[in-house]
Amino acid sequence: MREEILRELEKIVGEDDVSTDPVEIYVHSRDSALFQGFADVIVRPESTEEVSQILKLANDYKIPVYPRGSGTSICGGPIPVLGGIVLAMYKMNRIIEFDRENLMVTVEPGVICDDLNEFLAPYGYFFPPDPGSSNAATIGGMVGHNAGGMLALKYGTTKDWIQWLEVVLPGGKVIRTGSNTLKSVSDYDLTKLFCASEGTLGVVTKIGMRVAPKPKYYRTVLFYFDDLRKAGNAIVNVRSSGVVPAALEIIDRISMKTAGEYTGMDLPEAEAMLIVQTDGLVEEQVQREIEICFEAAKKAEPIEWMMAETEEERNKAWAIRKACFPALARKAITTIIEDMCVPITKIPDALVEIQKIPERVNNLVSIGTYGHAGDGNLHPTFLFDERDPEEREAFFKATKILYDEVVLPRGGSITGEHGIGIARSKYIPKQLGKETIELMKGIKKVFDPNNIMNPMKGKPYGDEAIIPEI
Amino acid sequence: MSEVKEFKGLSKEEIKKFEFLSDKYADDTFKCIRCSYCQAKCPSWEEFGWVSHSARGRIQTARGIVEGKLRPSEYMLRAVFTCNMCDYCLLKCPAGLPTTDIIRALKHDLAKQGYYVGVHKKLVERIQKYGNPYGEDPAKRADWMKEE
Ligand SMILES: Cc1cc2nc3c(=O)[nH]c(=O)nc-3n(C[C@H](O)[C@H](O)[C@H](O)COP(=O)(O)OP(=O)(O)OC[C@H]3O[C@@H](n4cnc5c(N)ncnc54)[C@H](O)[C@@H]3O)c2cc1C
Ligand code: SF4
Ligand code: SF4
Repeated sequence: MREEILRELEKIVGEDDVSTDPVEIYVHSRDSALFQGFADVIVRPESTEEVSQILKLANDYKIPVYPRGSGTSICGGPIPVLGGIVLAMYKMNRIIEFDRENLMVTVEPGVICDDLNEFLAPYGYFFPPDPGSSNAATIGGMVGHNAGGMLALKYGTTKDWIQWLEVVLPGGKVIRTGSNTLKSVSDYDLTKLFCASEGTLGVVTKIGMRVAPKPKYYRTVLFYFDDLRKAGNAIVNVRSSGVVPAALEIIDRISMKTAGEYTGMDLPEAEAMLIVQTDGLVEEQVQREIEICFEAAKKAEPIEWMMAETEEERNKAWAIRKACFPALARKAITTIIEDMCVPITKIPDALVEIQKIPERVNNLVSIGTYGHAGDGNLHPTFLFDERDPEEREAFFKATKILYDEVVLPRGGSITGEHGIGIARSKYIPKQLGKETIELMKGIKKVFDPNNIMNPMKGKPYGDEAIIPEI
Repeated sequence: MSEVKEFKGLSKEEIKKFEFLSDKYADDTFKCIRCSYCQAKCPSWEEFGWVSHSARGRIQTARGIVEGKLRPSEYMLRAVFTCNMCDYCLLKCPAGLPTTDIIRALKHDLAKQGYYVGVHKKLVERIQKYGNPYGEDPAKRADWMKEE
C-alpha cells in the first residue's frame, strides 16, 4: 500500500487508529476457521462519517476493505484475502438509545451481544438471538452472518429482530434501510439483504432492533434414547405437538461421552440426548407447554428422562449441552465447527451418516455432533491436527463428504448460521445453482461496482472465490 | 506515523531460542480456536483497544513466533508486556489453555534474549552496573546507618 494512502487514512481517523505493524496485521489474519490472509493496514473508525471517508478513499483507489467485529466467524468471513484495509469496528461500540415504549434499541455495530443483554436486563428485556459466542460476537458481526443460536426455534435469528440499518456504501454514500415501525414495505427489504451479506455489500454503522420481554419462567426436560431414529421421532413429535419450544437440542453419543467426562457427570449409555425447554411470562402456560412436549417425546420411547424441577436441575440439564464444544475443543489441536442444516425428519439419518465419515478418511479426523434439532441445524465438530498435511487433507475430504453426500442429497443447506466466507464457497453452486450465483454477483455489482467490499468471498462468487493458504 | 513494514518471520534456529515457549506451549498456541471469549473484558484490551494487546492477540502472537511468521519488535514487546497477568483469560478459555502460562513463557523468552520494554531495560542496566535496581553506588549502601 502506498504511503500517501496511509497518510490519508491517518488524516481521517488519526494516527493512533491506524496500524501497519506486522504483529497487528498477523493477529487480524485469521478468524476461527483455518484460513489466513494479511491486510496492509488495520484502521479503527469511530463514526459513520469516518467510515464514509474511508470507503470513499478505498473506492477511489480500488483498495479492498474487510469489515471486522470480533473475528469469531468460523468460515473465513472477515479474512483479508487480497490485502487492503481491515476496518476494525472496535471503537463503534455505543448503545445509542433505548426506546422502552416502542421496544426498540439503537446500537453501533461494535457492541458485544452479551453487553447489550446486560444493559437490557434491569429493564426486563433481552435481544433474543443467542450465538454460543455471545460473549464475544458483535452485533455488526451477527448482522454480517445473521447469527442464531439455541433460541432460534422460537425467537428466530438476528434478521428477525432488525428493523432498520444505517449502511455506508463503497464510495462513501450513507443509506438507511427499513423503518422504525413494525410494519413497512417501502423498500425491497434491504435490511434482510444486508443480514448475512458477510460484509460484501457495505459497512453497517447503526442498527435499530426490537427487543423482547425476558421470560420469567422456564421448564426443561431431558431425554436419552438408545436409537437415533427414536430421537428423530421425538423431535418430529415435539415439533408437531402444537407447542413451539424455546429450545430443542440434540447431542450425539460421542459429544455426550466427551462432555460427560469433562463435567464429571455420570450419563446413561445412549445414542442421543434431547433437551426441550419452554419459557414465558405465565407460569401455568410454560408448565402446560412442557407437559405437552414431554408426552409427545415420550411416545418415541426414550430409555430415560429427567424433568428439571428446580433451577439447579435445569442448570445440570444444560451443563452437558454447554460442555459439548469446550469438551471437544480440548481433545485435539484443531477444532472446526461445521454448520449444516437438514429438514428435521432427516436428522437421525444425517447423524448416522456423519458418524461413518471418520472411517472413510482413515480415522484421521474425529467428529462429535450436537446442535439445534428443532430447526435441523447441526454442528458436526471436526477434530484433527492442522499441522499434519494428511490430517488437513482428511478434514477437507471429510467436509466434502458431509456436504456432497449427507447435506445436499437430503435437501439441506450447507450453512444455517455461520456463513459462507471462504470455507463453504465451492459448495454454493451445488446448493443454489449457477444462475443464483450470477444473480448474487449482479446484486453485488449494484452496491459495489469496483468490488472493494470483502472481495472474492464465497457469497457472490461461489466456486470462483479465492481460497488462501492455511 | 504508520509506514509500510516488511513482514519477516524467524528462522528455525531463531525459533529455538524461544525455548520455554516452543518446548512447553507450542501445541497450545495452535489449540487456540480464536473464539475471543478471553477478549471482551481483558483489561489491557479495554485500555488499548488493539487485538495485539488482548489475550487472544497475545496467544496468537505466541503462535506467530512458534510458526516462524513473526519476529520480536518494540511493538510486540509493548503488546506482550502490557498483560498484567490477571488470569481473566485463563478463566474464560473454553479450550482450557494455560493462557497466562503461555504469556509468561513468551515474556520470559523475549527477556532472556535481551528484548525488554524500556523500564525493564533500565532495571537490567542498573543491576548489571550497580548490582541493584536503584542505580545507587554499592559503596554507599551502608550510609544510612552512619547517619543514625
Ligand atoms: C466458539 C464459537 C461458537 C459460535 N457459536 C455460534 C452460534 O451458536 N451461532 C452463530 O450464529 N454463530 C456462532 N459462531 C460464529 C460467530 O461467532 C458469529 O458468526 C458472530 O456473529 C460473528 O461475530 P463477530 O463480531 O465475531 O464478526 P466477525 O467474525 O468479525 O465478522 C463476521 C462477518 O461479518 C462482517 N461484518 C462484521 N462487522 C460488520 C459491519 N459493521 N458491517 C458489515 N459487515 C460486517 C465481516 O466482514 C464478516 O464477514 C460461533 C463462533 C465460535 C468461535
Ligand atoms: S492475564 Fe493478561 S491477557 Fe489475560 S486477561 Fe489479564 S491482562 Fe488480558
Ligand atoms: S479464549 Fe482461549 S481459545 Fe479462545 S481466543 Fe482466547 S486463548 Fe484462544
